Amino acid sequence: MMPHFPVSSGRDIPLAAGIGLRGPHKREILDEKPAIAWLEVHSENYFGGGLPVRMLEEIRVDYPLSFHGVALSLGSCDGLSTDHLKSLKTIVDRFEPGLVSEHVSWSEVHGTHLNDLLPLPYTQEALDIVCRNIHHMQDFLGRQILVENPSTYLEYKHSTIPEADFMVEVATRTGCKLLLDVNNIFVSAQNHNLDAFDYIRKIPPALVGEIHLAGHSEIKVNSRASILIDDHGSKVKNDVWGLFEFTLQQTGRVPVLVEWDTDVPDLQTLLAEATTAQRYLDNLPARAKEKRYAA
Amino acid sequence: MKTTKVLALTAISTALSLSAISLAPTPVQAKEMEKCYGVVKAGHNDCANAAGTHSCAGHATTDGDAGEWLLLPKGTCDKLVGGSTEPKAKN
Amino acid sequence: MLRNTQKDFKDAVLNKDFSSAANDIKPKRDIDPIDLIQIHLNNSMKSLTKVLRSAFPVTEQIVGEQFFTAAAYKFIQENPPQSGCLTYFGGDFPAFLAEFEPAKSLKYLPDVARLEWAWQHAYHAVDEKAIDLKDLIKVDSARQGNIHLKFNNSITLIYSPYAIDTIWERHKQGFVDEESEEIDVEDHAAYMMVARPRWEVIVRTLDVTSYVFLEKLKKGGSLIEATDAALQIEPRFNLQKNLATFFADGLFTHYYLKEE
Repeated sequence: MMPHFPVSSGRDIPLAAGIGLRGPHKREILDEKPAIAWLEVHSENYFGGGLPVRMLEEIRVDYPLSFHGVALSLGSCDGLSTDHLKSLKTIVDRFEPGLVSEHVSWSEVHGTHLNDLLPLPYTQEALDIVCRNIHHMQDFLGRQILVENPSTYLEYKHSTIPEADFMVEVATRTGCKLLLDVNNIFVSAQNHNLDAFDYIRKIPPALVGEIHLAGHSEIKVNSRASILIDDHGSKVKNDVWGLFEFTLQQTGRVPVLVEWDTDVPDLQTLLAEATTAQRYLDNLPARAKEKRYAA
Repeated sequence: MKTTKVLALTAISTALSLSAISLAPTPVQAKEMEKCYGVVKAGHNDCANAAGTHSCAGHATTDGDAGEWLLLPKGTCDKLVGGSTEPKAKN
Repeated sequence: MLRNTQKDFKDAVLNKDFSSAANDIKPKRDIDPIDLIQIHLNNSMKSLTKVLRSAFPVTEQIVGEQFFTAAAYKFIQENPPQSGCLTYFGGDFPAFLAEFEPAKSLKYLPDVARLEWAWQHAYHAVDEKAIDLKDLIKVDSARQGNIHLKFNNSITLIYSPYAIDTIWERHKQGFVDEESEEIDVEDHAAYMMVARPRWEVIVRTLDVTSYVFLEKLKKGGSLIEATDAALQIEPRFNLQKNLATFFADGLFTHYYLKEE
């Protein structure tokens, strides 16, 4: 029997569009307190003390928070770092975020951290390892987590499971939810000649706890071929908005987040992206809005 | 006991006397945080933002590959003079 | 096996040994597998270089961007991070620079880097409550010499035979460019303290006696040993003033008594 974890101990994340909190915007958000439905932070930035943590305490008063990890390496065959889990638990207990999430990818092997969200081969072995690590993480934190699908530039010869099936199996086995990054699905599908809509259709709506949106760019690898790079450095592309709309029709209302990490623009530009995402949520037909509660 | 130790003891009992301690300034924290918010960006290292670093592809990486024998520091170091001889000894 | 796949990938990213990793990759039309791995190599190296860049901005100004990048790449290859919390990545960079052949002529450079790392460490250090000088009143006057003080974890003491305080201060404010006056790096030795007992990172040049006093205390010496060490250098060492300043800074978190 799978243990039942509380989804959240703190302020719930609303079924609305929020933004990723980035350094250059902190001051303005604290001073002006603009209307933003919720904020997501990279957990690892708050593992120390001092100003970052102090400022987050203040921000938390006005905004629901989500903690998004980027370095736990759920795909490590060596298991999870206890120090990392302890630091994460400390801030989760202190800030009581509405959501806690991580990536289905790997960054660490033999004690070396490569600081990239590296793709996993989708095999039974990798599935077992990822599930074991998610179980460990949820047990350690005493709560449910969400896991995000990666953007990938390469595939492994020995992969045997389509990524969407892999993600669904991970959530089904561990009781975690999925953070569906629609931009990542688009990027990976383009790079590997797959159908992004098919991917979305495979995901049971009830498993989706959050959606991510971001910009990507196209880079020439050589004179004949180019590849899409998930650089979070521009506005959400039109095709991705289209895929997002399709996704919402399946899932109904869920928390949506716009991320921007490279060439971070002024806060207004980022908030305008969130407003666009919110419009898609508001335009959902009543039936689709309710779907989430029926599921 | 060496003479300096005697001096040290005297200094300690003076410094920790009731009157000396009551004169010591109490730390004032007001305004300090506000001031610091202004410098958040300077030297601040975002602990991990791997998700946002996919800004390069192909062979663009060679910028770190210059052979060491070709490497010459070319920053403000030409404004920093001296230091080519052995330093003064500590004390 | 996943472990082998990951090890192959690590060899590619850190050592540019692509052969095994490329073998694991599903072929793509018109794209060499190595080019795909190279994307990840770039992600790792560039993101980690960015971490070092933000921790060592003055060091970078001194050697220039290209030199810094090359040094950073070599450092990352030889000392990759062992933890996902990159706050701790770069602590070994000053020692690396001291051994980095192309930087050997800049003898002050590792000390400047040490100062920058101390700032970085202090900025992210775990918060701790300070004790007050008044707390020491409780100690019986006969035992005051045996007082030991525990330092806030953010504190680093740095000695350099070079004027790293001037170098750091001038660069930090962006005062060094083509038109700038030269800085004599041998103008004076620097005795420095970096700490963040509350919110603000304090970077302070101390006189040698205050430095010796703090250093002795920090290494576990008693109040009498530290005072004695300072008095031996300078008979006019003002203990009262030093204690008042350092306690007001909030440098100490506990005191304890230990009989000698």
